[in-house]
Amino acid sequence: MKKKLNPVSILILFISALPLFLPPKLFINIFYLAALLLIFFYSGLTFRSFLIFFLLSFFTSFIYIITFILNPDKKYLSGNIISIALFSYKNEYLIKIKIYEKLLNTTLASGIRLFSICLISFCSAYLIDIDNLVRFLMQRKVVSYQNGYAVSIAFQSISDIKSEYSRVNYLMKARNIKPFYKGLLPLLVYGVRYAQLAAISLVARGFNEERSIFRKVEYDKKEIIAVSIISIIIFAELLLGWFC
Amino acid sequence: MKENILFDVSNIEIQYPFSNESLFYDMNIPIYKNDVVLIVGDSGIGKSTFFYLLKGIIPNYIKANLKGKIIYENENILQKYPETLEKKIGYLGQNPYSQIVCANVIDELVFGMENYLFSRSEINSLSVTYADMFNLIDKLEQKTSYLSGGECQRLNLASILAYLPEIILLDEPTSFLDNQAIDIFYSNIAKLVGKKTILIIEHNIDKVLEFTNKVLYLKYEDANRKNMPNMDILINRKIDELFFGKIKRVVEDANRVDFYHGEEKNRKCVISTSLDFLYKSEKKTKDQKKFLDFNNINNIEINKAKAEVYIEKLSFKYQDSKGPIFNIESFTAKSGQIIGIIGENGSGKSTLLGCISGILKSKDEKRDSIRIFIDRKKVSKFYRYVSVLFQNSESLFFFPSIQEELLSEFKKWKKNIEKQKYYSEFLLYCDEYFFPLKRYLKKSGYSLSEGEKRRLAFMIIKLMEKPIRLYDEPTYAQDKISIDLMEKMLKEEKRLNTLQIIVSHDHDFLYRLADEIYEIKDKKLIKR
Repeated sequence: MKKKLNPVSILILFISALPLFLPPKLFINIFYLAALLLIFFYSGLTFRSFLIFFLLSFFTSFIYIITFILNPDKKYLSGNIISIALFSYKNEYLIKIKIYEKLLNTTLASGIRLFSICLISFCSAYLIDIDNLVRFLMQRKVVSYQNGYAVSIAFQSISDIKSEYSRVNYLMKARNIKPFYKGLLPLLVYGVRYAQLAAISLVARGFNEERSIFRKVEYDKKEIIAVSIISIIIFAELLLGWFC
Repeated sequence: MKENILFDVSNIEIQYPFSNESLFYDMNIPIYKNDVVLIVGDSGIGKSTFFYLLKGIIPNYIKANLKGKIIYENENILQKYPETLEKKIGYLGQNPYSQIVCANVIDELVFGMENYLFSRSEINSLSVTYADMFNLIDKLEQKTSYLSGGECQRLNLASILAYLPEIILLDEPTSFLDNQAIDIFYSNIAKLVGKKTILIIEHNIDKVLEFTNKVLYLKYEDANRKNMPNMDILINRKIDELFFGKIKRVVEDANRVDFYHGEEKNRKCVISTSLDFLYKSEKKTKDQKKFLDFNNINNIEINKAKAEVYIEKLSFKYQDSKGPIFNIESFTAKSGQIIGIIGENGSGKSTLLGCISGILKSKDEKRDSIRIFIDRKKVSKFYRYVSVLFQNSESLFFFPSIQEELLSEFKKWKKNIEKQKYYSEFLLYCDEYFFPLKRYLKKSGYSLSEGEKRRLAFMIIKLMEKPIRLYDEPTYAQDKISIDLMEKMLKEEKRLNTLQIIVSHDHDFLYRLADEIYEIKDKKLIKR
């Protein structure tokens, strides 16, 4: 069974990922990213999934970099010009690019930042157990039970709505119903009905904010290790002034 | 005796906002403590609404204008619903899927107990007891999204009974359960007799009659006032006479026309693609020219295509599940056959229908493990030849009114008079015995009761006129009359050379109807 990262770690990861969203700089904290990836692998991220996420993030940032270079803002078109030559064949370079240093620095910094954000987001989304996370937040009174259960039910409905969509899509084709937007009505009704019946089910079983807790979501060793690693890195970075 | 009265129900009238119609229960009924009450009646007559009133869902959460009284401890609960009563009543709704609110089975099971502040030790022992009772011990750590309809139903039942309500309202509790689970469920309910007040809405009344002491029979007293169900209290001895007597009468009446082929000489039908005939048929003299005689229509061939379904080495695995849900070596079905598929809850019956229709495709699925031939020609786009009645009937409704819903199918026979005649007659027949079409024509399919939706979906499947038809639990939420009529219509389809595959827990229904019955057992499809 796939191991899941526990809620606290996820929260910490998101909070600690904030530096990645700060204004672009060329320097990216490799240790920081490496530490996050280590935690992801420790939490059950398979190499295959990581590779898929890596490639997706790479291509996203690659396209971003190219677009940025080919369509630069005028403020980056000043200062030193540097030449980049790629792919040599018989002492001749196939690609030669002349680019402003300022533009290159900014583009690479933003590109790598985008890559890191994508990679961390994909990995987190893959590992997060939403139900566990919401349950944790509800039990600590961070989120009210009313909101928490609404979020939890909404997330659960995704798989049901997905299967309902395939059924509706099939029957639309079978009944030769066109145009496509007519299929929205049954889906919309399904969503409303789902919410209505779930709400009735909550009410019918005495749902309220005052309740006992049977399965408490607790911290464990893994989380303490994750929190410690991230805290040390952030603390060290703050001391060294890397965030400035 | 009067001090033992739990609910004193008298003449309730309900009107929903934005609705012109009101529902009036013409009745004066006391429900005593520890009564076991079976509620029966036509689909859509307001049985579930009655439970909503007892549980306080109406008017606390679904707003409606109410008149009349339900007296509980000297208070009219329709005016002000007492908080103490809320905990005492356990309510199980009809749709098993939508009642699940937690992602894990164990969380769902203990949900009610957590709400009513049970201690951890109490929750622990009760959850084990009820998980064991409903055969859920192995599934406690599973995700609820992987449960089948029957498993969801068992989980809902366990969750409700676990918080020990004094009054239990069960709205079709066994509609998705297999026979073994039904027996277990009712044997457990029988143990509660004399200790709890139990009200059950159930179409499969044979199992319940053994331990009920009261039957409430909702019926329309006046055929012209269909919004006025009248509730009678019957004792068991009279049930056969009144309830089954009515079924017999209606079914015999439906037989009189010998189905919808217009064998009755003076039966007339209008040729029209507007569905006006549903009304105009009543004014035969004025619009005589528009009606045609219905003689010799018996010879019409509706499904000329010969369909064959072949399955070879089919295995299906859901994402994240440990192994394949089934491994089917071989299966063949041909036009004119009715195939029944049975099996325990969660054995993969609905999944098999999903595979045959082409909706579900496993990554592990061997190429071409399902082949469909129409007139000996292999086809790839299954949706052109296969129609499916899913467990959720609403998937089939795309239009704001039933009239548009039927017309979208009806229009395809613009130039085919024979078919227009046949299907007009079919709709007239349905209107008379199966589904009150004239009354509901302008209504939305979504606003019908569960049973009515099922019957409307059943009619649309017929109008879709595909040579292969798959039905997933067609008898769900149906009364005896509707099941009997459904059986007749399915037999008629067999005569018209349609291939029909039916998944149902209603074994009697399948044994009466099917040419071959298969069971999914130990991941294999075995011929019975």
